[in-house]
Amino acid sequence: MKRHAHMRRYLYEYLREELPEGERQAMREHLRSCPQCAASLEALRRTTSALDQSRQLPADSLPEAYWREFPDRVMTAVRRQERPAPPVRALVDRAVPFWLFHRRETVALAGVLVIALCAVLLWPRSEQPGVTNVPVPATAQITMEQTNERMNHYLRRSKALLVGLTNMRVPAGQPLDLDAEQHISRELVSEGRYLKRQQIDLQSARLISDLDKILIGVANVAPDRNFTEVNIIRDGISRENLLFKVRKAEARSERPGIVSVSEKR
Amino acid sequence: MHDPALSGHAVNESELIQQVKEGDPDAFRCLVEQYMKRAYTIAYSFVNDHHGAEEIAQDAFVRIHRSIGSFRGDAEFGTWLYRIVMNLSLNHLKSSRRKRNRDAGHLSGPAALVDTGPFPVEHDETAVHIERALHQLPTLQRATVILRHMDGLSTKQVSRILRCSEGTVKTHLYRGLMKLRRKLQYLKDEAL
Repeated sequence: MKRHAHMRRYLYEYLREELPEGERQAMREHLRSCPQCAASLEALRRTTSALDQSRQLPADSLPEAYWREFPDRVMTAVRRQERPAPPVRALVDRAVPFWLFHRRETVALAGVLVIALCAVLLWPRSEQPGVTNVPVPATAQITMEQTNERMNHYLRRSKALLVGLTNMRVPAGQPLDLDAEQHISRELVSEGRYLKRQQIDLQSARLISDLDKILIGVANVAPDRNFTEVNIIRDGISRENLLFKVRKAEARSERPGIVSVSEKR
Repeated sequence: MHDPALSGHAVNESELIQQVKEGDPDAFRCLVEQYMKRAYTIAYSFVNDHHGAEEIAQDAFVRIHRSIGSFRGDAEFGTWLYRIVMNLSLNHLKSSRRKRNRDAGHLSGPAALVDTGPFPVEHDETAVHIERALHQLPTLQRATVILRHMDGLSTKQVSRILRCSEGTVKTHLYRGLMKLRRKLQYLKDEAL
């Protein structure tokens, strides 16, 4: 028994041809006479083969735009840590003597500032009907490209989830394991909230709201009622024609353009 | 992407670290670019969510920057960084568990949903099932499978990151892969 446990530790390295020749030979001889370890080796081979076929590291799943920005975010965090606290005390130390010895001037200055502020806030603004397209600066264009990329990811994931739910076998009376679906739904709801805060068109925002109803439903499925609730969710997907809407949105998002101010929510 | 060769910065890591110690921001940026994906992968393999992994990876680099002066070079820089990532990940897991226990783990509506951020899923059904199966593994087995098999680190490197013996790494890897196999059992034999 002990020997099996010991030999099994080396099965992975044997499979990957990482064992030195002497140990490799010993393993080969052991496998000839041990059907259990041979079966374990075969199981490892199949599992690693499946992992290799759909090899995707967590980091590789994120878009390149995300990784381009990552060092900037780190540098910002570093600078925030290093920035000294504003010299409030120095400011106060300078302001107090001025106030004490120049009260009239201070009051006059404060009055001018208040009047200027009121003027800015209350000045009537002319409104133009039919706002036209506003040229977008380069930095905003980059942000829109990143938003489009994230929107595409969101749509692809949503579609995969909806297809999975629609095709899922739901045997009556048997508990379903929805851990992964619920995990993905939560991520998608968060992502949808993020996207709604960006400059996206009305149709996309409405689609996200429609998807939210299903995603929140999936995330909140109770373990003891999941058969009934999953069927209700599947009806909802079908009734709202969500798969069709997602596919349409995918086709539309392949041609991102400048978001006009009039389309902005 | 920052290219150290174009900027004239040294590619050699120990020189880079020396430049970081002297306060060179470009050198530090270069280090971040070299290690960011792996730091994220390690964090994700523990905490299993994007926002947590992102926060941990960023936090690790900030700490590195703060304490680079004390790095003596007796361990590899990568190992030092990854240990910080692992410690932050374990702290994150502990505080998540405490929070979950406090909130009784029940979702009552949109406000109760955890903000986990994006982790795109392949269309490929196998990838969906693999992600699901990985998600269900115990933490150390999942971390070992991702680092050793998917990221290609050696047993020695993984043992240094996880601060355990190489034998323990091999055991976690074997058990993790066998559990994955059982969870993926529904896949047709010929498809594997």
